[in-house]
Amino acid sequence: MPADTEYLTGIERTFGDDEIIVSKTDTKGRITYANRVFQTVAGYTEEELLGRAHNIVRHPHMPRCVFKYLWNTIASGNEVFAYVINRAKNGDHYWVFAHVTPSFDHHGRIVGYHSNRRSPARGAINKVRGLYDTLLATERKHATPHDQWTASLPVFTKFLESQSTTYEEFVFTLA
Amino acid sequence: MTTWAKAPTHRPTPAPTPRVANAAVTPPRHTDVDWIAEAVRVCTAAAAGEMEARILHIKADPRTEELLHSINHLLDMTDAFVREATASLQYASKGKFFRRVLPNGMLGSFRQASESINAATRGMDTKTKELAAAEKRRHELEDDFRATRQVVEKLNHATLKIASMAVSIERIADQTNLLALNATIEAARVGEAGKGFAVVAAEVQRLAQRSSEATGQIGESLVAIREATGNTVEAIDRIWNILRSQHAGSMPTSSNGTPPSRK
Repeated sequence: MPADTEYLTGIERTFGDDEIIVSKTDTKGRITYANRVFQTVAGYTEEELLGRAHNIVRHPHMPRCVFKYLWNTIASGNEVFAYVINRAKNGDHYWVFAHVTPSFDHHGRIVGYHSNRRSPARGAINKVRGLYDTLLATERKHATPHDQWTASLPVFTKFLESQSTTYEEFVFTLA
Repeated sequence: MTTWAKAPTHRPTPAPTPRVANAAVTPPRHTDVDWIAEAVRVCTAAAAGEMEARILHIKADPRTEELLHSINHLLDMTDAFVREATASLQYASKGKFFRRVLPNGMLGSFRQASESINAATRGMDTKTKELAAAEKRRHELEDDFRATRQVVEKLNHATLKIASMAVSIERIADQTNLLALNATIEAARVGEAGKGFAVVAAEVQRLAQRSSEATGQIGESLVAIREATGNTVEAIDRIWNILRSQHAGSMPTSSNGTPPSRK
């Protein structure tokens, strides 16, 4: 990856409540479709996105364990919701309320993944940011991505237990 | 509308190859692309419920491009609605009602349909909670019935015991009567000296007869009590069966359709 993928401007981008960022990936997470809202908000062209891993828009402030949880969930055939901060090509950032679902063929096999990202409520971002900061603090004590999510996933689970809720219900109470 | 401080302008790199998402075939180079055919292909797939296909690498005259992007947009909205509605209803079918259809991004009829689904899941949520409360009350009722039936059964056992005691008393009265008869005969044999004793013997005989009459009355009362408890048990079992038929499968019963006694 180019060195400037971690460069951040601190400028936030937003998109409309009536807009949805849409993308589809293959089972490996490589982008097979990116709608125009995605291209515009992320600042990439279709050509730059197609075939690339979806983490092209990964923001360094996003805890790895959330993605780990996300991938575990959709790979088992379930939908997942997450508040995600993404990085635009120029280093700007944008928050989304992501809904990721597997796409199945006629035999019920997963042929890819589909993600609809909506403009999140401001209050939800503020609530989730505190949790993400805690998770990030844990992850920064470790060097490799694997060690990072291995360390923060129990923190994540413990947080949900302290709220006596499941992840999916937690996310919906914010929405 | 999309807004931010500084919009970057990146032009697409040249020589794109038109593709359709997840398409198995490799379409021709963009210069030869029959965009109408592409549009027909994607729309036909979508009409058949295949929502994965999209038109990729759109490069044509502005009006055609807008048309093709609009088709993708229509597919994205329909796809999003189908995924949302499916997810919400799947959760509802598992008794989870917090998963509402997200109204954001849903416009017009999509929005109305989303709100209808959400109203339905809210209704299901309320009804489910009411049913759970009714179920709880029914369980309490079930416990009460079990306890009542047990009390009546105890009463039945008690009457059986009393009946057997009455039989014993009856037997004692018979023997006392016999003893009194013997005493009267013995008293007569000793003549004038046994006269006082004969009076006592006659009195004992009278008492024995009265005991015998009293046990007979106890027997009659026991028959009445047993009839009453029998009717009570029948009534409890009848109500129990009505309750059971209303909640088939959810109530534990003994094989003969009566409430199981709590031991």
